[in-house]
Amino acid sequence: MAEIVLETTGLTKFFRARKAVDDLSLRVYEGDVYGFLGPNWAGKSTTIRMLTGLVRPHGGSARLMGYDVGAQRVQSLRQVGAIVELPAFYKYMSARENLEIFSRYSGGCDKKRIDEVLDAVGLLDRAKDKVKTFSHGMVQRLGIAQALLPDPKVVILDEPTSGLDPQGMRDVRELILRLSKEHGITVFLSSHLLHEVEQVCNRVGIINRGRLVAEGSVGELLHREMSIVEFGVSDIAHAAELLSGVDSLKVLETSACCVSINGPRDCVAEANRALVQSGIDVYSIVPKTMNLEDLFMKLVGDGEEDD
Amino acid sequence: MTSFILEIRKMMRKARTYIGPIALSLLTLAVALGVKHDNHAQYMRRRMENDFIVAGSMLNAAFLCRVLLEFIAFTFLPLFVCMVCADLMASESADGTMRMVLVRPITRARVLISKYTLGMLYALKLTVGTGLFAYLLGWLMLGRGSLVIFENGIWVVPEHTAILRLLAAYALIGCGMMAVGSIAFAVSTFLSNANGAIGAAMGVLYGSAVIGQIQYFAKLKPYLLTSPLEKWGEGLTGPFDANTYLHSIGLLLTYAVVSFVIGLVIFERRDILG
Ligand SMILES: Nc1ncnc2c1ncn2[C@@H]1O[C@H](COP(=O)(O)OP(=O)(O)OP(=O)(O)O)[C@@H](O)[C@H]1O
Ligand SMILES: [Mg+2]
Repeated sequence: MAEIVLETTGLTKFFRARKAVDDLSLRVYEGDVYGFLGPNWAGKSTTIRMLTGLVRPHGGSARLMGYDVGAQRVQSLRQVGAIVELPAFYKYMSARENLEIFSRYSGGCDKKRIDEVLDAVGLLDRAKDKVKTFSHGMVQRLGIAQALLPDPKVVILDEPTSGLDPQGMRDVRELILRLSKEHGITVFLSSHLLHEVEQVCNRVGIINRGRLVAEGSVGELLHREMSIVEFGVSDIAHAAELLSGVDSLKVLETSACCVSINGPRDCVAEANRALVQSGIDVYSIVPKTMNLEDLFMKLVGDGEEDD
Repeated sequence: MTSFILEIRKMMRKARTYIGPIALSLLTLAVALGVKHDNHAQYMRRRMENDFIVAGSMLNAAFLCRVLLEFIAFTFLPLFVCMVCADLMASESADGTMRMVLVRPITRARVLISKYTLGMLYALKLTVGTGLFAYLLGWLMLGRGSLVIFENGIWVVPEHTAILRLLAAYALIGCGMMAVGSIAFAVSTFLSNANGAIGAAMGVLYGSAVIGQIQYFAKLKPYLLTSPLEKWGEGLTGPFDANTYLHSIGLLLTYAVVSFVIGLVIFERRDILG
């Protein structure tokens, strides 16, 4: 089993009466590209602030690289690079100077390394320009460069592609994959862009209203969680009625020739058995693939119905 | 040490760092011109020089240093010091660079101490630097000589003694500026708005000046920020009592240290949300 490099247990944070993060427990293993997925206001940034020691939790704890962030903040951040919310820089200084200053806060690095990270995000030829002249996307890129600067084992990125153009998004996705594959860096990234997470992450945690609603590998989540299956049957009305009686599944819709159900994998067999035993002919069983977006909408949508 | 050097680098790149020194230099020049060409002062000088034997000119460098302090000690000097001290923390909170710094493996205390030390050095340097500049400019434009002051009589302090006493006066004001700057700094640890912190510190300064005038608060008076600060001129218009100065400096430094500790405690506990 790979080592746990980032972990939260029962992490909780209030802002006045509102719970921004609620009993959140996550685990990120070495080598993971972990997608921390959630809609606006879900509590992603607040969680990242607690992970990096900017904000003190009201309950629970966070551990990074085996150190408790609350008690040993400096040690826990030694091998970590991070962006929290939008990256910010000293606007009156050049990109290179900014990186130099930030690198010195974590022990310094040589000029070559600064060139390397600037090159990695495509900003090498703008290194001498003042940050105040940078566009939103350039600042975002410089933020990523800044996070990579100390040659970290873990990078924590809060919505790293926000404000980037499609090419920029693709560059960042490729960069993340490269960091993970070539350098073995563990990546924890928050996002509300589902296809992005689906493309780069091997594991995801879905957060809504401060609560973790699902966690696991992308494939596992999609399969374990729910599948939508279409049954082609002889007697639609009867089949629908029968299937509605099965506890673990839900009839989504009926059309002229089929009934769609939604439920855990095992109940497909159970549904089939029930249909056949009641004398209904089953012509076809077609699994409808669910993507992360369906899952996300389902989990996040359910959360809203609860309130 | 590294973080202190980084703070110096940031400070050197900011326009507001230079506003104080430039404005105060211009003001010194204006006051020097005033002293040189003021008719009333020149008339007094001529009369005095008929009745007494004064070594050198009476309206001289030492005189300029003393007059200047009267103009700036409670006005421009604290304002320019607060402008820089309040900005050290507040600007980084407001710009979001504070969170960029604090996700790195460095303690909050170290960040705070580097900034505070720099702020205090700035306060001292601005005060003493202004005094030095005034003395040199006065020397060039007006010449040197004894310090002569008309206040409850006429005080003549020989040149060498005058320089030492002026130094004491500037040192006291310097400590006062550290106290005012510390208040601005402490407020800026939880207010991500430099102007608010400047207002708060200047408010404490002027507020204590007002309270000091009210009889009802007479018991409080010795501990008000302005009371030790007002003592700066005592050694120039009377016998020099080192104890008065040491006591006042002690009180001002207490203000500075207490403010710093409050700032440190707040900053250590505070959530960085900006
Ligand atoms: N400084 C603050 N003061 C009060 N409430 C806050 C503060 N910061 C965040 N919150 C609240 O905490 C909750 C979570 O916010 P957070 O910024 O963590 O969400 P997020 O998932 O990062 O959202 P987004 O996708 O919009 O960035 C929200 O309800 C928000 O209103
Ligand atoms: Mg956010």
